[in-house]
Amino acid sequence: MVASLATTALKPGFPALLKKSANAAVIVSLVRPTKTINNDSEDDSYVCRFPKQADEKKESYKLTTASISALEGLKMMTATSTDDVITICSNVENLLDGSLYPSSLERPREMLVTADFVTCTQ
Amino acid sequence: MDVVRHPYSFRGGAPKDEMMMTKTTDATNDPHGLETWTWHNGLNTYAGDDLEQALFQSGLYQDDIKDLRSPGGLQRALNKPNHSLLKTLERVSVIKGYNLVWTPDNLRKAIQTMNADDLGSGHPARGKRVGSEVDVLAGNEFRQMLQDIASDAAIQFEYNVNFQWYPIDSQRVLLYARQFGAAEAYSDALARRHFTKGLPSGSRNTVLDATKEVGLDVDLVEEMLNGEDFKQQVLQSYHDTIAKHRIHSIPNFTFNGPKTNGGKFRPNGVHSGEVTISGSGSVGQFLSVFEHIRDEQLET
Repeated sequence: MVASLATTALKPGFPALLKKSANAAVIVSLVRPTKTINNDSEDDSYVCRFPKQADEKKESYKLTTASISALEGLKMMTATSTDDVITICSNVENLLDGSLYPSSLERPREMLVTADFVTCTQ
Repeated sequence: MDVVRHPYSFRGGAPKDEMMMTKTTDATNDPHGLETWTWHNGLNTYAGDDLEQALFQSGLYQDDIKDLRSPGGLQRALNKPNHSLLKTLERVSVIKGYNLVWTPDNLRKAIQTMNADDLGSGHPARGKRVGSEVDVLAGNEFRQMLQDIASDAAIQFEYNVNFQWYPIDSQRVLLYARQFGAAEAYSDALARRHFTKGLPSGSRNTVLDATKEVGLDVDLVEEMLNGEDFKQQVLQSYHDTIAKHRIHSIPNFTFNGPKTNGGKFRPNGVHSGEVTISGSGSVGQFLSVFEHIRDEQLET
């Protein structure tokens, strides 16, 4: 599925990545357009992209937080060469409870981990 | 995963009362606070300090160590030759896992290939003027170890970049960015500029460029930096991490799961099942932390 993005204005720093739960590097991106691609007025719709092999290999994913830029989001949604599976979710809560995972997969279990990270910037 | 970053400076910070009296970037009350040096030279000094501690613990006399860390000190030990000191150096190099075993022959060869610019007393770093052969050799080992770790993540370090004790603005923005869930992205953007492109992280331009990359409003960030926001929090963290929490090396991580709330930074500093990692660790080490929390704390 390929969709066009009505606007590229994204909320800064919005949680925007899903990572494979296993120890691997595949990352799935999530972006939030201010308008949905279904011509609805502004609401909380999200676009999510899974690697195609996720369905084939029955891999599961869990939510983590990071940000994605508007430009990256636009590229993701308008890419025509991707083999990835693009899905729309109208409610972020569905993401948080795992319901947007590929339908054939067993839902992963979520847990919140907090990290106090003492660090410098250099 | 919710990450809370606590700003750190190896030099610590001023007590809260003193900070409240000055209320400026110089609130660290540290006459050396604005000194800068390259990361390359700083690692020579840092690694030399680390080596000195190991040599002292191995039973070497302070006077011998002091002479060894002065310009020409290693050459003098080789010429003499000071057998007990040289044997200790070799043993410590093995214990520390240096790539080069510090046998007398290896040390002589290493001295011949040293960059003369690294030696002497022209490069103060971390508040010291050292420039000895052992500092350079130990620095080489540290740089190699760091690069080996970085190479696993396809990162090539640039060591000729300015470093300073108190990159306060960069850490103020770190705290600011957290409000927007952008702290980690900002930290990555800043680290790439600093560690791989040689841009000083204490520079206002570098900081603003990194904020732009992660989608923060640059004008608002600059306005914030022109004021006092987050300055006291950063300085307080400099002080507390060392003076209160006794953390003397970074990074330092404390992980809590759904059923724990422990560690030095939690209310009253309780210990209740948290997992702490001191040092960078490995992918496997961090994975084991998450698996441990999952196994111990996730409802079945």
